[in-house]
Amino acid sequence: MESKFNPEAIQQTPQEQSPEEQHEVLPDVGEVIEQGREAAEGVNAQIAADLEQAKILQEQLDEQARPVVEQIQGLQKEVEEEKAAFDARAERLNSPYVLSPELAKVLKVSRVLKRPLLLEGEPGTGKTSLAYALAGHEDLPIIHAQCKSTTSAQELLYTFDVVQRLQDAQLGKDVSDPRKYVKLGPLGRAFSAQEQVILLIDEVDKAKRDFSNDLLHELDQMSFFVTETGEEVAAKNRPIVIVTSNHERDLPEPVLRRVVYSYIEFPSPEQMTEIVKAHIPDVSEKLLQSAVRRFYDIRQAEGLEKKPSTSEMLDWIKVLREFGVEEIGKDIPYPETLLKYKEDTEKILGVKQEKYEELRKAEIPESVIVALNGERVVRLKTKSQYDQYEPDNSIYTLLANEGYEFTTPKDYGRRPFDINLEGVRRVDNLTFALYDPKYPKKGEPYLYELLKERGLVESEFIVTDKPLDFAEVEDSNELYTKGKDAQGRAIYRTKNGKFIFEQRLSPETANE
Amino acid sequence: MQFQLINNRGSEKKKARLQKELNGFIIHLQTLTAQSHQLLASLQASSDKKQAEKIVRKLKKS
Repeated sequence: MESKFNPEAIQQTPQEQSPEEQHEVLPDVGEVIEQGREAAEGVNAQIAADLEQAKILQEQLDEQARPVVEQIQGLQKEVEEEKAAFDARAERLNSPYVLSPELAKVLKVSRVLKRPLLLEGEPGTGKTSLAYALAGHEDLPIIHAQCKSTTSAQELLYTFDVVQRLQDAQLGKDVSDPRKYVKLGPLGRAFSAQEQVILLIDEVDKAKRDFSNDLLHELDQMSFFVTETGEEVAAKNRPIVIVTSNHERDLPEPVLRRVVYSYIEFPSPEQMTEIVKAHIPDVSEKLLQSAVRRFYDIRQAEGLEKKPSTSEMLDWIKVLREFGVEEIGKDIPYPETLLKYKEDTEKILGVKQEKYEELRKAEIPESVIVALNGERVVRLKTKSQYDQYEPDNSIYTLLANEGYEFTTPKDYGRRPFDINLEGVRRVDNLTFALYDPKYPKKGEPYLYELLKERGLVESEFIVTDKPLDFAEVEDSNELYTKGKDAQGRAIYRTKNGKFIFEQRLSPETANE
Repeated sequence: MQFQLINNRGSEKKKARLQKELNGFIIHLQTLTAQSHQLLASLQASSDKKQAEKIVRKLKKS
């Protein structure tokens, strides 16, 4: 079948439209969900009436009626489950998707080669959402096969209800046609569909070890046989197969050979900004920019049990808007939407908010506080001594050569220079906290060493217990003393007797 | 970096897909209702049969 997907034909964001203007022409998912709810309520009422009648009859028929009453109760439960599933599907199909150029290219390649697309990436990077967004974008049905630890390949093809057949035989029913007992699984339904469908095999790494290997033949041939009936189920229209994995386990090499593979990185701050705008078009720029910055600060904290993902970011923005927060400052309002473990909350809020809150209130520089928190804080070399926002050009060159993503500064630091790399966190202007990434990429040199080698670290914040002499005291209170030493360097002394100063790295030292 | 927005607000195809999903859901609900009615009908038939047998037994006795 001819590929329908055409990345060039994808509509750009209608920037010129205001949210109100967009709203007038929008399909209202709420309306669809409401109609679904009304239909489900109507059916529920009818089944409830049937159940009431059945219970009256049960009084006459006793045990004989029990299985039937139970089946009607089962149907009632099924309506509830189907309703919840429908709501979730409608929400997913309605979600816009911000597609990176790389991913658009990979999608096109998988369509041209007619091979399954394997998407890997940490949870919350939009693997499942992409399949649903494509279904909405191209008006294609989507069949979602959710893998669990017990899922077998056979279940994806079909199941044969031996028990029902036996029960029917015992009741004297006609069981000569085995086709009545064949229930097609997601792959079987995708093959037998009258139109092209998107088949999403979700979280394949959670299924049994041989699961993906066992499906190779069927996915290659786009057909399989039902042993019990001898009939072949062959794809009328080749489905678009999207397989996702959180990389909990490596997939077998023969599987990898047959798919088009793409690793989806967690969205960059720039992409996250676009994602939020797509979902919440009327979010204020001030709130959005400050929340994105804070969100990535949290994600870069070391040793979190669970890093907040895109869906949590969207929830956070919704809550912040609802409660009238205009901008994120040093605090993290409504942290419960982002942090889901007690340890993480303590790590982020406990250390950063409580322990140093007094110092923050006393307006001690954030770089000093971060250094006190045990992180390595450096000030990067500026382009000129008159510009505190623009880094030296060699820093751009180094980052670009190493393949690191970064954001260039704009409007005198309103959009600051930033490095989008795990283990690197912007503190203020050109001051960064650098620490060893938890899982450094293979062969990737440590950014701190690279910057230092090339003389691009202007100074480093040092914390010491060794007393330093103040040549001049500028400010002194019960929390800290601020002043200068004999060389004119700024020095801080905390009430706990810690001294903090900025150690300048001369080019000679840096190049050693 | 130029990102592309797909499945955005105002997409007619998305609207069509959602409508089809709703139609499919309603058909599925109708199937469930039919099954429920069928089960009740079978129970009613058993009850009627039992009643009839009871009457026949009574008539035979009398």
